[in-house]
Amino acid sequence: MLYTGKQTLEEKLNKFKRVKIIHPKMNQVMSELKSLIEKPSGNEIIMVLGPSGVGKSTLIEEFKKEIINNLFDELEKDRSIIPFVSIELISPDSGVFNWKDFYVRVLRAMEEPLIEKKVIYENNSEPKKRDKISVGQGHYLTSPALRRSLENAFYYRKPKVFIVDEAQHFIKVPSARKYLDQLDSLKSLSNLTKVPQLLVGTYELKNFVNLNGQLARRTFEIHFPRYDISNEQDFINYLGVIKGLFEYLPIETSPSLLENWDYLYERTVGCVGILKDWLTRALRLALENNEKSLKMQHLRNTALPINKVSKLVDELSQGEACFIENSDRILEVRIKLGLDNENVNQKGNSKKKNVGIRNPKRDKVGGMKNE
Amino acid sequence: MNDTKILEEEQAAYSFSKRSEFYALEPLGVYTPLIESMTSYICRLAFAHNITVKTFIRDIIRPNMKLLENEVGRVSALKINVGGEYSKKLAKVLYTLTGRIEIFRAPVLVAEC
Repeated sequence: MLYTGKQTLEEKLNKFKRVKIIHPKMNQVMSELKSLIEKPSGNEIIMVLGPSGVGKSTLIEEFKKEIINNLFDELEKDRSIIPFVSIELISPDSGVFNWKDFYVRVLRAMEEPLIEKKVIYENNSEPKKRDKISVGQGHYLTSPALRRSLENAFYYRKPKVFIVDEAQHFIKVPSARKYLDQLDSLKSLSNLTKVPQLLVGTYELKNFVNLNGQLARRTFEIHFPRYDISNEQDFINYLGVIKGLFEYLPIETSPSLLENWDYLYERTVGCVGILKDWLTRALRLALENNEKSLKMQHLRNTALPINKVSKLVDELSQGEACFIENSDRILEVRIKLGLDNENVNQKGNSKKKNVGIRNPKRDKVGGMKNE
Repeated sequence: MNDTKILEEEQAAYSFSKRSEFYALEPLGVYTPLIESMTSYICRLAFAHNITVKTFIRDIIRPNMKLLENEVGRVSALKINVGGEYSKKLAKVLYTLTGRIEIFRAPVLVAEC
């Protein structure tokens, strides 16, 4: 009896876990992405940046399905092409990003045969003198044979897009110089293969991009924001998401939950992913206690601690600040370009000194000569 | 007012057929008298995958053709290219690996058909 009860509990939870929310913000980002991938304006690196738990990974899943649906006929016609390459970057345990490991993982994702037997064919004049360096040899952090294989794989398999989830791990490098090299390597990979790259990650990625002018030009950023309650439309939409999720809960919800929307917003900071995880935890608690409805008390017991929320808020306010076009920054750029000289003069004149304060100039000292 | 959609996700995600194990290189000169030989195709295939021809034959061709260990080394290029049972078998293997139907148009095979 107890066993069957437990099983239904797990089933109910899994059913709720499988629920996916396609909300307005996601639709917006998705349509931007689609137009960028379908009509590429160059060999671009596209970045989707958003706070943790906003639904980036769900977005990727939906995007992949979309690509497959669009390419279905082509995929059946030509069995060697693949619709996309998708990997999740692993945080390097040594603290240094390992390109060799990255290449291997990408090749695995492409189901490449004989990865460990790759060699590099150096094109010497005499074919007998071919230098064959296998993957096992060489530097432990990189491998030209794998890189060459990766380029070939992209060339022949013709994926529409190369998706890298958790792309913020790219910035794990020991020195500032390496920091720039990382993105340069990515850029040349995209140039050689002519496959647009989609890097998905948290706001940490943003600083990574603006280091180098050439890269800043090539990369295109899409912001996947959370629901900001100060915006009326966002507020309505977020309430819609909450209501929708409540309807999908396998038990009833007490009507007081929606009245406490401010608490729900406070602990989820407007991120749909966080909300769903929280509701799953609360649902488990309610089901384990054999309750017939989900109450506020369940939510309170399973909410994110305020310290964690505060950390989240700090991170996202820092990240969101990167996307705000600050008027001071605009003016600074215009001045540097020589566009707004008048403004500069005006600004200079407007600074008036307080009455009675002298100009900062050196006074004569001594006075021996006069005597 | 609100275009939020909530769906329940099924487990089976992707539904397209399995991809070919190797790249579908197009044989050179198909539909011309100067069509590429099978040996040349094997070399190019190995080159495109950054593996040695030896590795390709030992690790891929031999297991797929269900040959014994010493059977491959004794086969001359002539036997591969000239037609007959061996060539047909090899062409079938290459077809399953790459999904390129044109491989059956190698000169000798066309003549036999």
